[in-house]
Amino acid sequence: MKFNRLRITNIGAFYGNFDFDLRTFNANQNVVLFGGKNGAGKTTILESIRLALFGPLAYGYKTESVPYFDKISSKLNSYAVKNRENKFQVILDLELVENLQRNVYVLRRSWQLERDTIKEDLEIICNQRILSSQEKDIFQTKLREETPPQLLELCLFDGEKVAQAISDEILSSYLQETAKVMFNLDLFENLETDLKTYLKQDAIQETLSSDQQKILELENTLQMLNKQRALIMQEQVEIETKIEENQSSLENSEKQFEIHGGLLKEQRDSLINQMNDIEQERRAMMDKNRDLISTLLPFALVKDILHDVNRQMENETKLEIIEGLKQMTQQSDFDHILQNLTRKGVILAQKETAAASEALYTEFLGLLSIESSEPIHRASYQQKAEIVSISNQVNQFDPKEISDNIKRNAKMIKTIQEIRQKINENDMTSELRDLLENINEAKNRNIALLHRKEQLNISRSDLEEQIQKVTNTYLKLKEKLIHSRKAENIFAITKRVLDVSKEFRRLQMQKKLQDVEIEAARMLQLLFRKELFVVRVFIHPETFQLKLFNSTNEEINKESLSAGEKQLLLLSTIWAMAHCSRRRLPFVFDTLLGRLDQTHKKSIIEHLIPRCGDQVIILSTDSEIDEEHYKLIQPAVVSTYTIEYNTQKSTIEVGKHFFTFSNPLEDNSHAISS
Amino acid sequence: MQFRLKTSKATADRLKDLQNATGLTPNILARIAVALSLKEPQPVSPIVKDVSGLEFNRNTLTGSYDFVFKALISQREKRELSDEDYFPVLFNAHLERGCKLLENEYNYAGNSQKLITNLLDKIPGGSD
Repeated sequence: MKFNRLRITNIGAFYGNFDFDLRTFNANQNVVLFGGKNGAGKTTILESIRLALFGPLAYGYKTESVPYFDKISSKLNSYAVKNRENKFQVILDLELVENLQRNVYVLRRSWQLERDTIKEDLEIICNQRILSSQEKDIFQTKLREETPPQLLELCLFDGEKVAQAISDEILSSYLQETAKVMFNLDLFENLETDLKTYLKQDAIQETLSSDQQKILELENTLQMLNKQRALIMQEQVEIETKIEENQSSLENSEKQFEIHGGLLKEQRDSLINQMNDIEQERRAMMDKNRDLISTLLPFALVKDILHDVNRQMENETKLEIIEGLKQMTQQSDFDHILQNLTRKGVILAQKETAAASEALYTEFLGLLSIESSEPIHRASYQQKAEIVSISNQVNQFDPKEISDNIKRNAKMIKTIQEIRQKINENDMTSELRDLLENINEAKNRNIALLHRKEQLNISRSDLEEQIQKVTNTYLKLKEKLIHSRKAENIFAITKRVLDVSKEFRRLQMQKKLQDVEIEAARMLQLLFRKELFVVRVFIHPETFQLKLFNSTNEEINKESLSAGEKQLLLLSTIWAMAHCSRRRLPFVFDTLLGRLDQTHKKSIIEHLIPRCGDQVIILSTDSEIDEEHYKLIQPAVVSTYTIEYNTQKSTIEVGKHFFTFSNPLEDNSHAISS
Repeated sequence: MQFRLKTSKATADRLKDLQNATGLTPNILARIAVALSLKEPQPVSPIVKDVSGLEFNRNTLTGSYDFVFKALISQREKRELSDEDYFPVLFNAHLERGCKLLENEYNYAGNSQKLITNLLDKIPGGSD
């Protein structure tokens, strides 16, 4: 990685647009020098680079959270905010070698104020092409992985933190976190993590036996369910047969019912007819009886009186006739009769005629005489006929008929009752009823059977569903088992790979750290005024604790080192690590030489900086790099800037020179020539 | 000619009771009652003062047998009767007495059929 250009707009003390050329050429001309007094804004430059690269990550936030924006808010130029300017941004141009190809990126991170809230916008241009949001994400991820902020933290060296770093053992953690990246061992570590995750995800080891057990259980369940299904199917077949049997029995019963029921119906009808006939006869009889009772019975009761009436009437009739005869005949009439009879010779005694006719008349009248003489009825001819008619009817009236009828009536009623009883009995106890019962029973049975059949169907479909489910689970599990059997191999392989990887990492780390130790020790020897004071640097491969040993192989207590010495130690170590990783990383040294004495400054400028690769950005005060040291470093410097805070303008003025030590024209010529 | 007859209260009650018991209508019951009274040898008392009972139409009571009843009652009295004497006087008197007799008969018989049978037994035998 190499920074080409940094543009700052309204960040920190930088009010307005600022443009810094950071290009360098080679190890001999690798320095961009920033000069500025305390509080001029040197650290802002360092922070701007970090922000442009990592955004929230620069401050340890994973996302664009509120605290991050609070931080940003404090970084925005207060004057610009007051002026309601809405352009706050950092633009960093950088070069990356990707796939053996040099790509130029422009990272533009800008912030907008909207009603007290801040919006961040990131634009990335690769080789003059604006990246899509997806490509942006990919780039950021790659950047983070290849050049993690921790790594850059070391490279973007903030001298003010150095003393702390060493005494608080922060160095160890720095080393630990960066070492693997530096030495590309993070690839292996990532691989190991991935493999572990893979193993955990499949949980092969643990599930193996339990899965097998489960499969056995499922097999049992399946067997049981199948048995149940077989039972149900058997019952279904049985029920089908039963239903058929029942149906035929029902049909048979119904047929019989028709036959028997028909016969019985005739019987029943005939009985009813019989009953009706008897009833009808009885009714007619009783009506006749009632008629007789109404009309003739009263007269029959006084039959004798009726006879008397009859005789009396006859007598009265006779009397009338006698009266008539008396009126019509006299004794002389009988004289005539006797004379006529004598003359005809019927009788012979002529002389006794008178006496004879008298006697004859008396006898004749005597013949007509009757006992009673007083009339009672004086009935007319019609009335007489009436009485005669009634008398005749009464005479013909047979009381026995009525009493017989009454007796017969009683019998008939009994018969009718019997017939009715019979019908009822027939209705109750006949075969018909049995048949009806049979039919009903068969029907009920049919209903029950059909119900059971339906139930069985439901159970069966339930069971089949269950079987399907269990089978699926079983198959899945089996597949999983097969898979896991394969995975077992994978597991073993993975384990081996893991072991190998770990071992490789350990060895590699050890080897690399040894290199670092050697390089650091060499650098320290170069830098240290007390020559050979530190002979050996030891970095523990696991804890990354740094230990120093003197020529007699005795450990040097780090705390006994002076602040300046600590700084040198840190610089050496980091340099050594960067050197050993063979990564092309820009170094940014902030207040690099603050605590160092002239000798140490000189040795850093002479020994360290030329060995720091293609790009070294040094942020320095005028006391750190004074005129004397400037002259030392000048050959390596590509461009210089002096930043100065102008309280009147409330902004920073930038000059293309390093304080008063350099000739601005000369610097310009450098810039132009580049 | 009189066409209406009013019975005593007692007779009316008897007729109603007998109607309920035998199912025969009051006019038929009255005819039977009169016949039963006629059979009694003792002369009937023709004085009936109570007339608060049933009122019969003569046609309903005797109907087409009016002369027969008159002849029977006359014969029983052995004298020629004026129409007035016959109906309602003597007829009513026989009805009063006959209803008592009929009631008695029914009470003795216990049921209508037995009553009828018993009455039939009372029919004089022989014919002329």
